[in-house]
Amino acid sequence: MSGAELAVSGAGKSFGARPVLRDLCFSVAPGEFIAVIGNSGCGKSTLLRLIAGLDAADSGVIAADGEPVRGLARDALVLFQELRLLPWRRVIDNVGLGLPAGWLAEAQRMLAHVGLQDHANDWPLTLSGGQRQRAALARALIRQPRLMLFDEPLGALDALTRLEMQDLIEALWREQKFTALLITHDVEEAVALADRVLLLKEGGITLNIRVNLSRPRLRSAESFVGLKTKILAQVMDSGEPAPFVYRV
Amino acid sequence: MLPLVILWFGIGEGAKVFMIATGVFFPLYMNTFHGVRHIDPALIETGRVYGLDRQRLFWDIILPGALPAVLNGVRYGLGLMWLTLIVAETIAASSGIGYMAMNACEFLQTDVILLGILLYALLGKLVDSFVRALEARLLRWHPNYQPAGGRRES
Repeated sequence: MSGAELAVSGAGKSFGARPVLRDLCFSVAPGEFIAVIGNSGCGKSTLLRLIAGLDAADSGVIAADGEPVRGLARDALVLFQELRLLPWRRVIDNVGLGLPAGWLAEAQRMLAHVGLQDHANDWPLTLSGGQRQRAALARALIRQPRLMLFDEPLGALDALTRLEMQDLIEALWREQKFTALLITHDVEEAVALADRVLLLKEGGITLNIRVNLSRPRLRSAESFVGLKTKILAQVMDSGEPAPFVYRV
Repeated sequence: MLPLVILWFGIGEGAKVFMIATGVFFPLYMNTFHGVRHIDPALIETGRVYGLDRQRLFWDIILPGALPAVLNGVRYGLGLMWLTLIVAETIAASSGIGYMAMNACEFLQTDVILLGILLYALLGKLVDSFVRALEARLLRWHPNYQPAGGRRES
């Protein structure tokens, strides 16, 4: 099972009269890890919803493996920030959600893989943030998606759990070789995980930069910090004075 | 409504059943409707992403999601049911506990009246306990329905 190839050509989306994405073009090679960064409201999540087939683009074509995405993409799965575990199903039943009968053994194996074997029979609402994250990850990966879309999944976690989860995502990606698209506003996270970082600003891609650092990446390495600083400068540079400046 | 019901159904079981059914319908309907309406659309979207068909969507997401409100409606409806039953039995019936109590009233049998009240109270408590047990069992996943002290900080 290899990753899906993704091609976005000329994709545009407006909400009412306000264009959110305009004429977006980029492609993702099979098995590549792409991070899309940008300020809130720049259209990152809209882009993800288009690729997942949750919403339809107003213009342009989004193709997975050369086939245009229409409706829900079968091989693509989304990991949302709010995770969306069903609170009334035990963790193990959440992992098996919608699978044909006989999923139990596989679900147990997957839970053990993400380190949740002791919580299979817990209710999702009793888990900690990181544990819920692991459960949601197990629920997605048991279906062996060829394209994983991460919609700021780690945004609400504390710093330590976040690092742990980044390592887990990287390990699972290297093992399952799916194509990954990570939406994030954390530049460090993007540089730590992605092969390529796209910067989305005002509905267009303003930066497309390859991360040529060997894995696992050391966050304190000079090259890492240098790249992060460079991208961060691009993110912050809005070309016009910011309307509000917060000083700490 | 009572005179109309007596006119239509006469005095007997039919009138009682009709009164209670119409009285209980709206709290049940309103609560169920509210429960289904307030299911997080994100969860329904998740169901679609994970390929649930309409049937699975109902059993896995819509019914359990609406259940707290549905059970709330059931409890409220049961309370209303007893009230309607007592009224119906005292006025438009030829048998039943209420009829017995009203009869006793005519003959100044205080002990029978008290027995009637006691029976109603006992039955009401019994049915309410049953629904509470049902709630505790079906809503185990909900932190608000956990027994005290059983809730864990997340």
